[in-house]
Amino acid sequence: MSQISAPPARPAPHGDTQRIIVNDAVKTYGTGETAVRALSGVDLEIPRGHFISIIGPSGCGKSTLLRLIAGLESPDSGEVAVFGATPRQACAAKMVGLVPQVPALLPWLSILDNVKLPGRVNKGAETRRRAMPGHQERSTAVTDPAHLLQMVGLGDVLDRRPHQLSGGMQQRAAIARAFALQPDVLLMDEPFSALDEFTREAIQLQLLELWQQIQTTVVFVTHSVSEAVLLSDTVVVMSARPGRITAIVPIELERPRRHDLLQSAALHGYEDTIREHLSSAWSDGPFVPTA
Amino acid sequence: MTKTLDAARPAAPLLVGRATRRGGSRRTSWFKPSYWLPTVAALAVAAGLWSWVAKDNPYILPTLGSVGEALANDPGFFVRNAWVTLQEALIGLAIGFVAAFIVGIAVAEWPVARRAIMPLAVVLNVTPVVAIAPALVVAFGFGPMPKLIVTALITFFPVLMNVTTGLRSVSQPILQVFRTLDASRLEVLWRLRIPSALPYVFAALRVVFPLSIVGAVVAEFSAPGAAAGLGTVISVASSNAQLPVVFAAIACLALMGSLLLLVITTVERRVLSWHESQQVSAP
Repeated sequence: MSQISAPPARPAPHGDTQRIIVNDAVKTYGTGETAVRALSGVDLEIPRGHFISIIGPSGCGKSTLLRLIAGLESPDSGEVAVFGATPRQACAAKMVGLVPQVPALLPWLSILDNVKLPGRVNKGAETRRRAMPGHQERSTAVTDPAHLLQMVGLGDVLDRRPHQLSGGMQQRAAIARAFALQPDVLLMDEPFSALDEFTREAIQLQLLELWQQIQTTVVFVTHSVSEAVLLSDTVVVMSARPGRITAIVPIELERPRRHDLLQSAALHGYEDTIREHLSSAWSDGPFVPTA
Repeated sequence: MTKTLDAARPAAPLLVGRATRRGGSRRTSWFKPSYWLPTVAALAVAAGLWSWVAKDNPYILPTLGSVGEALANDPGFFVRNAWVTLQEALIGLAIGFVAAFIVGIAVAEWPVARRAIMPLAVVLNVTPVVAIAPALVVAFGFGPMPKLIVTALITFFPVLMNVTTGLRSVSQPILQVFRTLDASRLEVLWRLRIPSALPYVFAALRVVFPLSIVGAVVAEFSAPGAAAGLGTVISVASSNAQLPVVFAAIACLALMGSLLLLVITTVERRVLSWHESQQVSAP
């Protein structure tokens, strides 16, 4: 490796260590006539500790936006900064927790070993994380994987393999795994979409409880309006073709939130607002919201 | 890609595993006639047909009694020779397996290695290894060397194909979790890719264990002066028209193959208890 060819250490795109910033991000898949513009000039700022949901119809680029923040893809143009670092730097410091749509547990490991996994790979991350500008000591509220699993109601099945558990239990284990990292930002990509109504409601509350204790930033992709309102501080509404942000709706409901909130008029008011934004953004045909 | 896997999961060897796997508890099902009767009946029919042919044609098939006699006369002789063949088969298999595993990792990790090695591997696969055996005897003599090489060659390709397919058969969401953790390539290989490949590796082993015996026997055939081994026993006895001895040796080979399959199926059931293929649905 010659010195000449080594690229200069680039400063982080933004110095703001208290925000996730997406600046004019453009992402196109494919080329020529078949090209699909997944994101066209998306701007977004997420303050540390906020719970934000991204909602929109299929193909609006909400998952793409999440993948940009996760560093799984890079924007064609524009910038993404995670608390003052690039997404890849943030991942290298294990600041990013990912909960995909399916539980994505390792089938040959016990539930407990699955939750311990993030601690076992990339052991140099802790040093890198401390060196991050604006680094905050993580809350020690929950560090023990077994304790985390107890908190999500899986204390009795620590030694089971994933296939021995129901889909809901597997997804709770996946959430515990992501929290075990004590990530600076937790990225969740429609994590509850495969679950039945009852399981989903139970898990939503457990997620809120964990989040209250650990106070991390959450970016939550969903296509359920009521889920978005119930969980979030802010709901970002996106629309498709091309993928863009059409509205940002702050949800000023008191916390901690409970499920009886689902019946409240205030919550319904927010749901109506969001549905209006969704349908006005829907130019190609009638929009049927999924609740 | 699925083709490799299918090809590597033949129906016949599963006979041992499937039947035992189905019923809820394996131990009790042994005692039920519905479990063992079909097998015993089929064996009895086969033995009856054999005896019927052998009765009037001793130079086509020896009678089962004469085969049993040949075995009983000198069991030590067969055990000694079987041991030689088994050693050749297993050592050759180990060499072929380790080589294929290492090459498989290289091929799965580096596209350059894939383009360089795969054409060669395919040529090697379509070449009948049986045809190479005599040349190897010329090159390496009558010792164990040519036998090990033939066995290693014959086992190399199925393992290579399944290892490369297995290492790539990683679930994308899990891979994304590893990437957000910035796991190193080695960590992904060790903690994710190799365990994911295990079902494919066992599928390959179930093919390659019997193949290794084929390799060893073929190599023994090609080295007529070889001192020992069931293949040598067969070729010597054939030239002396001792059909009972030939078939006694063949029976030993069949028994060896079955035992090897039994071992690999048992180990597989242990190691892959987490995998779909091993999960028993309630009866």
